[in-house]
Amino acid sequence: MTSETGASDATETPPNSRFSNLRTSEDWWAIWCAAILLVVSFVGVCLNVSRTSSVEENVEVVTVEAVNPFKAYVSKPGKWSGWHVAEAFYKVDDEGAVSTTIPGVIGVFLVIGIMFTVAMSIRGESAVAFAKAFPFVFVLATISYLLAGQELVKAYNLEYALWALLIGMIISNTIGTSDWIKPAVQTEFFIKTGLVLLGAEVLMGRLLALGIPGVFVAWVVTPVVLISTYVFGQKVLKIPSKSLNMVVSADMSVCGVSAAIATAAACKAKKEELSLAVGLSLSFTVIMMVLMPIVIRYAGMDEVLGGAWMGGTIDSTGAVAVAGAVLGERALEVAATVKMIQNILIGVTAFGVATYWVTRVERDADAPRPGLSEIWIRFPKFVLGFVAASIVFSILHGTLEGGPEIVEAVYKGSTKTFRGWFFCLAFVSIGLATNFRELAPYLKGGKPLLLYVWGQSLNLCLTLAMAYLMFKVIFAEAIGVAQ
Amino acid sequence: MSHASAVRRWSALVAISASILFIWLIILPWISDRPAMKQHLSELDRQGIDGGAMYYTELEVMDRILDKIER
Repeated sequence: MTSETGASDATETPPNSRFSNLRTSEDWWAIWCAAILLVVSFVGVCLNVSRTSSVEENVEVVTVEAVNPFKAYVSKPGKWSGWHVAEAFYKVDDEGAVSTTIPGVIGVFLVIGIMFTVAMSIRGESAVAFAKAFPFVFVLATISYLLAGQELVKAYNLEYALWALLIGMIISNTIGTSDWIKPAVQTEFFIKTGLVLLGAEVLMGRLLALGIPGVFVAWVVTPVVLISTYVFGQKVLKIPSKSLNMVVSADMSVCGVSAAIATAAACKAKKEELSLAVGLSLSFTVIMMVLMPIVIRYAGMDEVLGGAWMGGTIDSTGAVAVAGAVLGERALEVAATVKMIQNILIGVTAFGVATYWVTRVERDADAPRPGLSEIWIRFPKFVLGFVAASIVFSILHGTLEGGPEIVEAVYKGSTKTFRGWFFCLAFVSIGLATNFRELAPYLKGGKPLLLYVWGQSLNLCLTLAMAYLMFKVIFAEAIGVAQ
Repeated sequence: MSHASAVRRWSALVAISASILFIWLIILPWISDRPAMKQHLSELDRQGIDGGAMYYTELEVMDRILDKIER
């Protein structure tokens, strides 16, 4: 994603591919930072694995338990209700047990602060300036988490990304973002590091969780809608910015904010384009989350079909679960599983978009097709880190004894929380660098809104048709859902 | 930045912050406390559903669903 420049800049100044890039480039440092967190967490978990065996019906059953030793030192402000904001940091349950997120928040602050200060220093940028400014940006990210942690806000899928953007924009559009804060406004560095960490959660083995019907609903309809929406935006609406067109198409068809972040980074979209796509996605998510269960009930649709429809169309994962739960237990299971399968598409989408951008969009129309070496030079390397993390952790998950327990302990105990903080810091940074007036040209003519509405309408029709075909016709008997 | 402009900008920041505090500490708790909403929120809580989840790994309920599928 570019902060100040457009995607086309990359064609004018090809990035340096020399060996020194490994030491200085942001993409490679995002990979190094994420790799350090993943390896340290993995080693910590492996040192805390216990295996117990028992005999059940003459069969030896091995139970693996994996504990992440860093869990207590990595957390974010939690949920709170009523006027009890302090619950986000310190909670006493009904039995008197105390839980606190304070050491975890301080732990995250220290780890990211120290790691990025060292990275900035090695990259030849001002480490001292970053270290001075980072606490301020981190405090804003913490406030964003506090706003997102209010129980009602949480239930309606108003994610931290929205509040982080808002908090940053309030500062930049009132008192202004002072020069001393700017060294810590590292939008792309935060996003890329978070994305490589997210790769470890993209577990390919879960792709077949719902069998072939799930794959068809999530993996056939989604690319068709993504590509059709992009083409519609270019050919019919004639949206001038291809990256905006792609980010809106991806967040609407894949899985909301996380897909928007991944695609925006892969196609080097501008920060305003990501903000706009996130705003559109979250607004429609809230509307669809409330309306779809009502429509499904009114239409007399059964829970499996309704769940598959919602899972394939509502952008955000949390909203899909809420809408599914409103409809019923079976709807929740199907909706959440379809969305999970769609979530795993993020890796393929980011890789595909990055490749398309490098080979087609950034290429001069008159120039010959770029060779492999040029593609390598231009390719955003962090995408490779993202895909590599996904492949490595999918293999560990599927092949290690106790693989699921170990891999889950790695991301649930620490890297998932770091990933959330990196995205939150990135959105605060976007807000701090955005002037309200800069957003106005993107809203002109309402084209992004039209694009979203057209794409989502197509998504609703195709997903319903495919879900009906898969769950009610072809595999109806096999999955025991025939009427 | 002139003194008047600085005062105006800081006043805007204070006013927006006060509005946020008012919404988050008065309006939202009031809505959350309505009986139907209270029931909806506690049901989501009971099922381990985080409406703000960005990715499936953030959903507690996924563990139960995946366990059921694997069995």
